[in-house]
Amino acid sequence: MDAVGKILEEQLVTHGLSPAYAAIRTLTEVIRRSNESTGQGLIKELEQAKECLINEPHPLKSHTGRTPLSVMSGCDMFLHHIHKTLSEGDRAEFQNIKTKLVSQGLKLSEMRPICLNRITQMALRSFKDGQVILVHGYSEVVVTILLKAAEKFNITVLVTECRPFCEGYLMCEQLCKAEVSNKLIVDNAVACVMESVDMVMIGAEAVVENGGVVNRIGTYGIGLIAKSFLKPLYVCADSLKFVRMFPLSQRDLPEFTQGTVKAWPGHKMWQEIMTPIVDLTPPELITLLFTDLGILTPSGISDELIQLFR
Amino acid sequence: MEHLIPNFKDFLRSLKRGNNTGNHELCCRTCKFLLSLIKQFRLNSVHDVPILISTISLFGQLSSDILPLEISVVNIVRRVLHIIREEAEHRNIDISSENQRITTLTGFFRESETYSSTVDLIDLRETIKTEVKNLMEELETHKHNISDQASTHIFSNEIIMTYGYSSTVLEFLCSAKSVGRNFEVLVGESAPLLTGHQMCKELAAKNIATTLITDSAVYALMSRVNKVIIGTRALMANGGLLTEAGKYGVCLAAQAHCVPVLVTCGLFKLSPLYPFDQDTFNEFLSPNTIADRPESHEVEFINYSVPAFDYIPPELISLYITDVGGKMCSYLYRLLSEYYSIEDYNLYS
Repeated sequence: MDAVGKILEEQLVTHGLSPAYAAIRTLTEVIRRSNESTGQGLIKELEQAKECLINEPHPLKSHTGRTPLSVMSGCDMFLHHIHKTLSEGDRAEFQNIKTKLVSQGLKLSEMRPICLNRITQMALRSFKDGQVILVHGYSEVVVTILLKAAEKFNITVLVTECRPFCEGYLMCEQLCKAEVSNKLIVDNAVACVMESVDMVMIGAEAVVENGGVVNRIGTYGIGLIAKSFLKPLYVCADSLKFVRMFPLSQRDLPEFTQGTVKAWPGHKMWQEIMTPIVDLTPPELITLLFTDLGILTPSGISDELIQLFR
Repeated sequence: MEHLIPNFKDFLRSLKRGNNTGNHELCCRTCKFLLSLIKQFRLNSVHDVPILISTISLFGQLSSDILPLEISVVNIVRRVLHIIREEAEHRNIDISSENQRITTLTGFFRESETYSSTVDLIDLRETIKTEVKNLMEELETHKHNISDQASTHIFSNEIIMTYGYSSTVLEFLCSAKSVGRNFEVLVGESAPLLTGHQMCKELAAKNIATTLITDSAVYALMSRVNKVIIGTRALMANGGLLTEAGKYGVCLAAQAHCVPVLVTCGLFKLSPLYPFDQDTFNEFLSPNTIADRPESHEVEFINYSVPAFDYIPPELISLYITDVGGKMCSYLYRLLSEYYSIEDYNLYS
């Protein structure tokens, strides 16, 4: 199943797709290249491909530093759609169904700009002139929203460094290029600056069933600080990130959310640190979620998930 | 469709100019207007149904332009649109417009469905008319449905605080009294319009022990209060309230003393909009309401700020008493999806 990993890498690198959409493209490629002649066989092959994508996330980690959670959610949603189409379709027209699935997969993977557009339209309503926005982690959706908002309003963005992956620098680079007023702050300075912040905006690697959000490590802490200062926390994610998971605590997240990072080179004793890469922010800390399905409160997520997986 | 615009604008301006007896009256008139529009609309073929929907959407757009703070009026438009969309979906009529079709994942997955081309349009019109008449009946009986629940929330020897004048709360309290509960009511006078005075008079007329208090006394007396019951102008999608100015302070005082806050509101006030702060849906009243003929040299240096409305965040509210029963904040998204269609949340798209 090496080929699957290679296809995913190609989608991520050459086409610059985000992980969930790249996973859908990969599965579409698998369908296209498949020699199976039955629905069950095709589904089995796709399930194997999905397992391979999730358990060997090397291309994912090295290129984007993310966990395979969004790959998992994208695959689940597409596979559910495939199941439904195959069970409703006529067995004799299998080749037609296959071609239809391939074209649908390609169309679905191109929906990202449309989803981004919708999310941006909704998120823009929460901005006003002179606001200070705190962001954590690198999210394409948040960057798009901030750039659009900066065209209309006079905003300042505080970006956390976001160690250990230092994604904050990437965020700052993009904001500087667009000449949006921004300031890079150390992760531990969040509590210190929170009183001058008007809102916190984050992306999501996955949105779980109870409305909680899995995002870069440190988000939980920022959520707690924002709640105690009564500042709103907005999550921006497209509905492909909705996952049918119900973690009750931080320990309930899957195995692949743990990783090792290089220690600070200044001290010779330790080379690596074992750390969770992502953490779970519970729904009580989240004010609103901006998704392409609309503006949702955390309590509305489970209903939307049921609709998507019907 | 364009020839109807002057007609719509005339009606909306008449609403604006009217006696302003409360937004319930405006909603009833809007509902009647939409019913007559549906009766007269020419439905010759299946393709006329999307045109009906866009005509009513246009009316909705005009009403949010001409009456920006009458959120309930636009809600009625959305309710009628939802009725039409549901009936059309039951009969498998294609009502989606080209650009709306695939903008969400759920839309994408539902894209490949077959639509019928011949439909009994007379039956469709009759069903829609019946549903809209049910909506009108709901508007007329919502206070009755809410006050029926009063005996489950109010008990004897309780001290209840309310603020300003609300006819729904008035009926709610009177209903509890008529069942035999013996309670006391503290009414905040709600400066500068002093609507609390009217509330006091009407409560006293029903033999309910009432005390009129100034706004500044609300926090001091809150420790003796068992419940706070308030009405609202509009209920937003996240559970926040858009009410007359002054109630935010009452709710904060209630939170500080751990007193539950109950909100009585009809479902027609539930809006799919989200406010982000105090100014999103607000207007300022004339300085005349607080300053009696200011001297000309004062006017230069003094700023008179009289906001008409308050936005109360959902964390301060314990229970919403609606005509379908008592609901928690986390349940509102269900009510929204039941009574409104997502395509109508933003009438301008």
